[in-house]
Amino acid sequence: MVTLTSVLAHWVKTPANRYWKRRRVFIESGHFYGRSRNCYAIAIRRLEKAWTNAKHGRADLKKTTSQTWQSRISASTESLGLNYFPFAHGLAHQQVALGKKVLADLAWSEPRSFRSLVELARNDACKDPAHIGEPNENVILGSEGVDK
Amino acid sequence: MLRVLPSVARSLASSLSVRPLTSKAQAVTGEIVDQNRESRVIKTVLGAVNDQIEKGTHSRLFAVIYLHGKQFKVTAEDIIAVNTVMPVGIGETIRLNKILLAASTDFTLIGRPLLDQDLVRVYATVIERTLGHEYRIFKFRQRTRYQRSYFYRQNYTMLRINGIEIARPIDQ
Amino acid sequence: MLWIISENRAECSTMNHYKPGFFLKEGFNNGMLQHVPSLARLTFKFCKSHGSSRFMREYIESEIMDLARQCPTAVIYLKPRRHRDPVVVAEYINGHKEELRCNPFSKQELIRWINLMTTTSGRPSNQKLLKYSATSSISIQGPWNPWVYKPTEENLEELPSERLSAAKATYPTATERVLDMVKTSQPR
Repeated sequence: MVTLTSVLAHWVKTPANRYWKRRRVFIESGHFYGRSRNCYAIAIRRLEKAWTNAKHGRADLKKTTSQTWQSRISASTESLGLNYFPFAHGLAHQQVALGKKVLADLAWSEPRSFRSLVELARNDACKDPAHIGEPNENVILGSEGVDK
Repeated sequence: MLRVLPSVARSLASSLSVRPLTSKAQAVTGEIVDQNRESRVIKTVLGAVNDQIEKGTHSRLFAVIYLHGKQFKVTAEDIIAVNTVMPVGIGETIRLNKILLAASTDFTLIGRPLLDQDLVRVYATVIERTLGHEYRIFKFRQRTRYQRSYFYRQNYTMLRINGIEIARPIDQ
Repeated sequence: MLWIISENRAECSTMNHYKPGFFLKEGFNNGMLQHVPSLARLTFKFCKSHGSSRFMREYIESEIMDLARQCPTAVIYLKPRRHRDPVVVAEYINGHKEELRCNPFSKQELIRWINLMTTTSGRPSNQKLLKYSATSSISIQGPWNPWVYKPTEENLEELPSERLSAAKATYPTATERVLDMVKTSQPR
């Protein structure tokens, strides 16, 4: 009998290794359709494709969520008579650092706060002579929130 | 005589009961009667807000906080999952300092970019520190026998928002 | 594939390990007034003589008193048995039970994994978090509806009305602006 070191013994092919190798794959392919669920050679190919798809999907998700937020914000601002880009530019000019995620949330859940943000941006945009619009008188620029 | 925007003139006319301006040509040049109007409006509006704050009659507050590069809209009793490891023990209460916006139903305080630390206070308790699910990053190239797979689990810290309070009247 | 944290035996026997994602939720508003630690008991299973339990034995000799001081509400059991791999079993107050096989771990790794077990709140591991915030009051000012930004004076308008059916004009028009510029400019 050949006695192997613990390092080499790890690489010995036994029926037990074969079983667990397959089992690890079948656990993940359990919800596939047809023979790709239970036949190893098909399952592993399907699974590798699924993993690469998931990897690309994670990158795409970031892009699509960002687009969704932007379209939600622009829908709300346009109903108040201001386009998205003057709104975003006005907020940036007024040093308001709210992000797209929060603005999209405020647009549907807190309409009054969102309206005040739009008025703030509109006040800023009205200083531009190219912009045709009316400033709102109710915006109060106090010294409270300004970063000193 | 001062040259003001037509909308300003119109709103002035409505608020101060000056002679109503009918045609557009007249509206271009309006007369400002009340020089102290701006400060008077500010006083009444801020007074109404401060009245609510002092008596505590305002509705439930919400705030937008900045934490670890992300912004969260929170109210009391919320849970948020922050994608980081915080050097805070489980069950300890912390105060969140970076507040971008605080509002109730009747007023909105917008920080430019942050609100004063003494004005709005947001407290949170760390309730859990855990790991997220397992990401598999599988790399594969055709016709070369190249394939690698990497694993990653995100760290999460769950915070319970205990409450939001406005500590003092604004603009004082 | 990292099968470090093994699940319950019943789950292991099934072919599919698919687990649905979850939303943040905490029973009894934990942490609102007082935080209740969720770990109920920790069981260390190890062998007194075998090499695979070496680091577990080292951990028990040096670190376990600190652990007991760190989480006073949890009960810690030591369960020696012969010639089997070291295992840590964590049981939580919501009934969840998690087993962790610790054979390949060094002492430092053990400290980190056990620290993780004490800080989690008894949720099956490797579940996907679907949303990063949970709230009971989603809208404080009332959610958006199509009439939120409409002026209320339109309610009193008798239909058909000329004012509402007129086309919206931006004021001043281009012609008026040009005329205004001509008027205000200085004659040469």
